[in-house]
This record gives sequence, C-alpha cells and structure tokens, in this order.
Amino acid sequence: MSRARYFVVRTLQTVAMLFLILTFLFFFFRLMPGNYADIMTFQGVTGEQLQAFEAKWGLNDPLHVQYVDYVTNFVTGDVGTSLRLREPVWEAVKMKLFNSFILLAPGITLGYLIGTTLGTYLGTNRGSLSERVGVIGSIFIGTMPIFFLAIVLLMIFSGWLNWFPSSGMISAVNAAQFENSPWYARYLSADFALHYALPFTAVVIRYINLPALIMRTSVVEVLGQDFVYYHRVTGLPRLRQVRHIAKHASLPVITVYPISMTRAIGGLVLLEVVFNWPGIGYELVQAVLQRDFPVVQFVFFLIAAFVLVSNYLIDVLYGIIDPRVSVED
Amino acid sequence: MSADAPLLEVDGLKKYFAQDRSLSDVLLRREPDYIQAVDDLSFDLHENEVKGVIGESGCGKTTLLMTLLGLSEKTEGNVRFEGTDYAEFDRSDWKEFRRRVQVIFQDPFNSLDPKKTIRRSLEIPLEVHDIGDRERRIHETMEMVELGPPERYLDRYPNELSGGEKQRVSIARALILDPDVIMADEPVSMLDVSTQAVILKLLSRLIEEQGLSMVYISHDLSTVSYICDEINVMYLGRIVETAPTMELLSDPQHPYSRELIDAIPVPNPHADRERTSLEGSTPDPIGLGEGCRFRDRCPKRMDVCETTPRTVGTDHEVACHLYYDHDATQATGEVVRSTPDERLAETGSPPTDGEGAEADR
Amino acid sequence: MSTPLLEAEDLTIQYQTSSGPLTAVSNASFTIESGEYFGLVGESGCGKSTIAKAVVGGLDSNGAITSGTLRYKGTEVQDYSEREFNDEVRWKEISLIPQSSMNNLDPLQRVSDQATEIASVHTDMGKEAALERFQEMFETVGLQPSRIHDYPHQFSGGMQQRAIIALALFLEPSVIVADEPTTALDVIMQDQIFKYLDEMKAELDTSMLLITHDISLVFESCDRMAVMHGGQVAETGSTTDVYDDPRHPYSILLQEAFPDIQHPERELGTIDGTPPESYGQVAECTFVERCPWATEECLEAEPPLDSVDGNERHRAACFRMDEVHDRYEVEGKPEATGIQTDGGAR
Repeated sequence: MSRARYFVVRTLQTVAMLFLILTFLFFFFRLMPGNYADIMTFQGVTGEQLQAFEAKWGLNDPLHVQYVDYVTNFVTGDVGTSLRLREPVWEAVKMKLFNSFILLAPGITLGYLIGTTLGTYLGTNRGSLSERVGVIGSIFIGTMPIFFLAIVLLMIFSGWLNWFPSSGMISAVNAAQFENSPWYARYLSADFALHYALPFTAVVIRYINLPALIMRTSVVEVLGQDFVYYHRVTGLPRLRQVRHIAKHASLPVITVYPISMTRAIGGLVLLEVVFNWPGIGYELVQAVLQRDFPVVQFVFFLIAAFVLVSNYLIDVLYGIIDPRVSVED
Repeated sequence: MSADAPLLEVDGLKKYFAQDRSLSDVLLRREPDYIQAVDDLSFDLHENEVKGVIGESGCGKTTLLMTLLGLSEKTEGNVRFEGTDYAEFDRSDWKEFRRRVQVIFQDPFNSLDPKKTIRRSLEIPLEVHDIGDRERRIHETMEMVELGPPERYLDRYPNELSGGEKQRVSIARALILDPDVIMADEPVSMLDVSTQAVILKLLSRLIEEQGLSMVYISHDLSTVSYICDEINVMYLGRIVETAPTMELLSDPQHPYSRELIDAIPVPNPHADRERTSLEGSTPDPIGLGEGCRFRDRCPKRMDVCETTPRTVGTDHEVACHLYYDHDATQATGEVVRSTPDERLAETGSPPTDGEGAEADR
Repeated sequence: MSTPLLEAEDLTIQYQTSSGPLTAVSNASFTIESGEYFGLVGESGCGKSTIAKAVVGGLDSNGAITSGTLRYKGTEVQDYSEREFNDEVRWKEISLIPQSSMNNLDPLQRVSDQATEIASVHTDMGKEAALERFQEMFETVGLQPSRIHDYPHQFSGGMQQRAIIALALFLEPSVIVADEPTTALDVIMQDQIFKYLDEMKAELDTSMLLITHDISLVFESCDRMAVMHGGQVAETGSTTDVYDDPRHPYSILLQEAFPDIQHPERELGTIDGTPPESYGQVAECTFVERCPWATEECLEAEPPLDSVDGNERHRAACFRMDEVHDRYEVEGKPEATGIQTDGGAR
C-alpha cells in the first residue's frame, strides 16, 4: 500500500483511539467508589449547598446525559470544572502542564540524542575498553530510579556545593516581581534557569541509558549486514559509513522513544515531589486524593493522548525514514 | 513401476494463501488476493519409485512438499496416503504416517539441533515412536550411511562435522524409523560438488536396498537426473511436463522445460551454447486466472493459450497447447494429440517472442 | 609482454584467530590481462573469496597479506594507504559484484543516491553526469533507466543483482571482481545475467575476475582460469588448456564430479574427504589426503606452480603432473586415496 495511505490510516486510527479513551475515562471515574460528596462534606459544605452544587453542575442527571454533555463540551474546548478549585479544569492545570512539559520533553529528547550517539560509539568500537566502561556505566545509571538520581544531584550540587537552589521553580522572593509581567517572562529569568538545571539534568541522565544500549545492540546487528560491507568496499569514508549504519540502527531506538515518554510520566510525580516542581504530576496526586474527578479525568486523558500522539508521530517519522513500511507491517 | 495401488496420491491439489488485507479492505468486504502457490496439481507415487519435482524459486515446489508432509493444509483437492485422505487421519494415523514418511532437508547446517549429540538426534525419533533396541538400530543406520566406525561420530555435536557428514546424519535420521517414503528437499544443493555425487550415490543405493520411494525436490536438473526415475517440471504452481528422466533431457516438449534445460551451463569451453532468449523473471502467482501460466514469456505463444491447457500423453505428459488440438478435443470429447508444427501451421499465428516485460513490481 | 593488469605472485593471506594464523591462501600465483575474463574456481574453503576481498581491499580486519605480492597495474596493493586506495583505485579501477545475497543494496537509500554517493567519493563527476552514466548502465543490463530512483525493495532478486552490476560498472573500471554473482539465482536468471556480462566484454573492454564454485560458468564465460584447493593454486591456464589437458589431480577429479546436462548418463566422479584448514606456513600439498596419486614427496613441500610441457601459460602445482596425466589417460582414477608408499605403482 502506498505511503500516503499509510499516513492517512494512522491518523484516523489515532483519532479513533483518543475518542475511545475519552469515553472510557469518563465512565471509569464516574463509576469508581468514593466521591466528591464525602470530601466536600468533610470540607464543611452543608447538605443544601451540596444539592445546589450538584444541580448547578448537572451532577444529578443520568449518566448518559452527562456523557453527551461532556463530549460536546470537550470538543468545543470546555474540559470540565474542577470540583475542589471551582474553576475550569483547563485554567487550573494549564500552567502545571507547561511546567512539566518543559522539563520532560527537552530532557528526554536530549537524553536520547546523547544516548544514541553514545550507543553508536559503543557499537562501532566493540571490544575496546571504552566500550566496556560505557556499557557498565550505562547500565549502572539505568538502574537508578529517577528520584534517587534527583536526590543525589540535590545533595551534591545544591546541598554540598550550593550551586543551585534546592526546590521550587521560582523562589518565592522573586515570584512577586513577575506578578505583572506576561506569563512567559518568569521562564526567561536567570532565577528560573538555576531552578531548572538540576531537575533537567536528572531527566537527561536518566534517559541516556536505554537508547545507548539499544542503539549499541542495533548497531552491532546492522554491522553484520551485507550492505554495510558493500558500503565499505565501495570505498565510502568511515564517517559516511557510520552515518548509514546509524540511520538503520536508529529505527529500534525511535520505536522505544514513546515508551520512555510513558515511563517518564510515572517518574514525573516523584521527581516533582523531590524538587517541589509545580508540575502536573504533583497536581494529579492532589486531585486524586480529593476525588476531583474532572481534573483527574482530564489529566489522564492528556497522558493517554500524549502517549498516543507520540506513538503516532514516531510511526510517521519511521514511515519517512524507512520507505518499506506500510500499515500491514 | 509397480502396478500396485500408489502410496501417495495427489488429486487436483490447490493451495492458496490469502494475502493480508488492509483495514479498509476488510470493512468494505473486499475479497483478498490469493497467492496460488499450487494450482490443480495431480501426482502419484508408487512403491520403489523416485520422482523428481523441478522448478525455479516461486514455482510452488516447497508448498507441495509441505502439503505432502501434512504440514500445510490444502485449500482444495485431496491428498491420500495408501488410499486414505489426510483429512481423515486421526491421531494414531498421523503417528503412523510420520513414521512411514520421512524428510531430508536442504540445509545441513540448520537441520540438526546444534545442542544435541548425533546419538541423541538419532535416538529421539525412536523414543517418540516407542521403538526399542536403540543402540543396535543407531549403529546399523550409521553404517548404512557410511559413517563408520559409528563411535567416531555418535558423541560429537553437529558443528564438529562437515557438511557432507551432517547430511549423512540427516539421512540416517530419516532412515532410522524404517520408513516407506522419503521426501527430499534439495538435499545436496548446499554441499560442495565433490560431495554431492557421494551423497547422491548413497541415496541411490539406499533406495535400491531398502525399497524406498522418494519425492525429490530441486531446482537443479543436473543432479536430479542422477537419482530420479521420472521428472515433473513445475511452473507457477502447475506441473507442465512429466517424463522419464532421460526422455525429458533428450526431448523436452514443454517450451518452459526446453528453456530451463537450455539455460544450464555446460562444463565444456568448446561447447557453443546459446544464451537464453527468455526475458524477465517468473511473476508472482497472484490473481492469475485462466490460461497457460507461461504464455507471457513463451516463445511459442498462440491465441489458444488463453485457455488452460490440459495434460496430454501417457508416459511423457505435457500440458501445452502445442501438443493437443483444443478444438478437435472439444468436438469429439476425446483428447486429440497433435504435433507442434501442426498446431502452429493451423492456427496461423507465428511464434511471438514472449513479452517478458519487467512485470515484477 | 606488457604489465598484466592484475598479478598475484606467491601470495599468502592469513587471518589471525584464537587458534593461530589461519592460512587462507598459500603462495598463490596468477595473472589477469586487460580485456580478459579470468575464472577462479574451487570449493568452499579454498581461498577464492579471500583473494576476491584482498583485490578490492575488503579483507576482514583480522586478515592480511603476510607474504608475496598482489599487484594492480604494477603497483602493490599493499603499498596503498586506505585513503590512496579509495582515491585512486577503488571502484574507478577495481569494482566488486558481491555474492548474490539480496542484501547488498542499502534498503534505506534510493539506488540512484547510492550511485551518486559512490561517484562523489571517487571522482570529480557532478551529480548530473554520474546519474547519466548510471542510467546508461541500467540500460546495458536490461533495466529501465527511469527506475534508477527506486528503492531496492521495489526490484525483484534478479533485478537487484543487475542493479548491483550496473553499480559496479558505471565508473568504467578496468577490473570487475565478481564473487559468486549468480549463486542464489535461478538458472534462467543466471543465464540472463551472464548474457549481459558477455555483452559488456564486447562493449566495454573490462577484465573480470569471476570467483565461483561452478566450473561450467568458468568454462563457458572465461578466457583463462585457475583452480584452487585448500588455499593453493592447483592449476592455471586457458580454459581450453585446463579442460583438454588437466594436469593437477584436483582439476581432473573436479571436472569429473561436475554433472553435464548434455551427458546425463555419465557417472559422476567423487572426491573423498574435505579440504584441510591450514595454520601457519603450509609445507605440503593441501590435496594430499584426498589425492589418489599422492606419494611421500607430496608431504614434504608445497609443490611449485610449474609450466606444463614447457607452455608458460599453462601451469600446474603437482610433483607428478606428467605421470598422473599419463596414468589417468590409461587407467582412469585409481580406487584408493592417500599416500601410496609404493611410489604409486599399481
């Protein structure tokens, strides 16, 4: 089948999946035990107020009505209202999302770039001492959970060397001065950079090991192929040969990239707790504990969407690199 | 050739593989394309007969082998062993079948388990079929395949043996259950020439001594002729010619057989063999429909070749319109044989050079 | 006589292994002239592939020429640095048609891109010029010129092999090394490819070193040849010489072992045993264990490649080449193999 068709089909598949997940999440959280009523009562809301609240937010309507409302609202941009914060979910989480995103995405990507390069080096220098050191080092780092890495970094660079602040994203002292500036101003400050350095480094280091080892194995496998010998015997300079090899070997690494994205979300919560970073992981924990299901639903949906879309983008990228793929593969 | 009932019978066998369909095809309920690996093939094997099946890659010979071994289910037609259809076998029938019909594969490097000693590889079939007196049988079989003294080999691993020695072990493994039929899939093509003849002679001798029957599958006509009584030439899932070996080699009737034989290089610098004039390569056996499958490349193509040719002849059979009068057959109901010159003359269509377009992709 | 195009003189190539230096080629000598198709034939392990790799500078990392010389147009191949070899010799002068596995073309590259890349490394030809030349080659090998921009998987096996041939030719080298170019292909496809190789000879005046285990290909398509066994050159000469008057026992027996479709009733010859794996210096004839005419002499030293009946162009490496030939004519092949202590009298 043609490549164009491949891309169209993948897009449709992704959209269909997103819709299915949305539906699933909706019903899942509504049907789970434990609800907001208990929490709210605990917070001191009276029975009357509770009833008024429910009427206002349509929480007494039959489920399927709520569902239709939800979906129609969703596609027009209204993703629910936080039950505990009494504001639209989107307003509540958008900056948190951003904070997590700027930590994870560049972090994992840089980790992968470094890891892939390292892996190429290890694969083409098999049997050498540097290869063995590299492999052992990679495995060692890979066994460390990210929060452990985070704590180690904090202890050394913040506690002991005092180069970097130990928590938060912006120090409280400076937060005030950004009150009246546009939202992005704070991210461009030196203060932010200092706070950002350690958590970012933790993410990068954590995500070097998998691509490095996969790339290494992949390179070794590719090296055994006839076309590699052919490139050599047609007299291509070494660097060009390595480029061709890397292109082939990178295909499994690309496949694994979205998997790292997924795992990263799990580690994100712990990371944010250690660094006190105001991101979506931290927010999610709060929402779950308080049964704020509109928020939880939305965040879970985002996570699922994130995974799906990254897989989709990877498939697209793979389809661009490798002319042989089709949907049947 | 004995006049007894045949051991193996294949009747109008068809084996089709459905090609993968895309999601939209499934939703729109479109019929999948079929790879017609074997198409309406008939064949039989009697006691102490050695029949060769020759064809190039993609002709369906491996699929045929798999079906004969019961490893692949037929799509249509029937396959019978001693009169019973495979489809009617129960578990004990299959066990019996597996003992009596054995196989030798092509790749000596891959057909023996590298983690098992030679002795173990030979023991296992005996264990599976609950046959006793194992040491003696193992030793006897090793002597049969001329791997002596057996002690030299039995405790070794496959990687310690040469290609020829490994192939002998494969033959021993096939013989140890005292089978009636052996299927051989290119058993010598991966061996050096100097060893090929040795193994072929061994097989020939064993067939004679043990009264075996064999179906010998290969792409190499020059070695097949050494061991087979009769040769079947396959092209795109069909048998196009069947003849006793020497007759096929001296008088190939089907244009494809002729092209095949003519393309074989001759080990003589003085011989002046002409290179093949056939263009292109064998197409994929997909969606082929009616008509002779060789017509796109055939130098002797005629209009009537759009219809599927029937097989004519008794001892030397060929499925080609050049050899029978299609119209006359229809009229009288009997197959009327003709000679190629007659056919070409009467249809008035000169032999066209097969188009052989690069219809590969 | 002018300098031969390619010349091997007492060439020894060894691989460093954990069991010691494996001698893949021992004191091999042969010459290839311009415009000549030369066939190097032998069974597995005889060293022919090693020689092919040495000629194109593609020996595995643990292999090296340890003694003797391999000269291209008079200059020793050893004397070139990797860089120089790339700039001056590789692909422009000597190119390779590798063994016909279907995996030689880079699946992620268009065939035309692979061609332009090779051209840019070895010549100053612009991209346009290179593509034009490549398209011409596609036509020569019977492929549609418009298809140069396809990916390898879009071609069938036989077409891929022809594309490889086009790649080997388009810089118009003086020597093409063809290492088992048609082994994995069907016989009709093989014939088609050799048809193109024949035509090339007429049109382009290239030489070819054809490496194969199939002696019929050599007899049909080559002018001169060498037969190798266990790393040693057993016999070399024109194809007619080696066919009409074989002097080395291996040449004789090898020809007997090859089936001839035009004489299907002929009994096939056999050769007992397998070629030896030699480590370190080889000091005997590697055929001795399998040879029906062997004597003590054959164990004492490597037989030199001497001319047959004074003909410099026909040489055999056998101490008993004259006797063997006479005996074979009269008696045929003897029954026993291995050393005959009675001096071979039977």
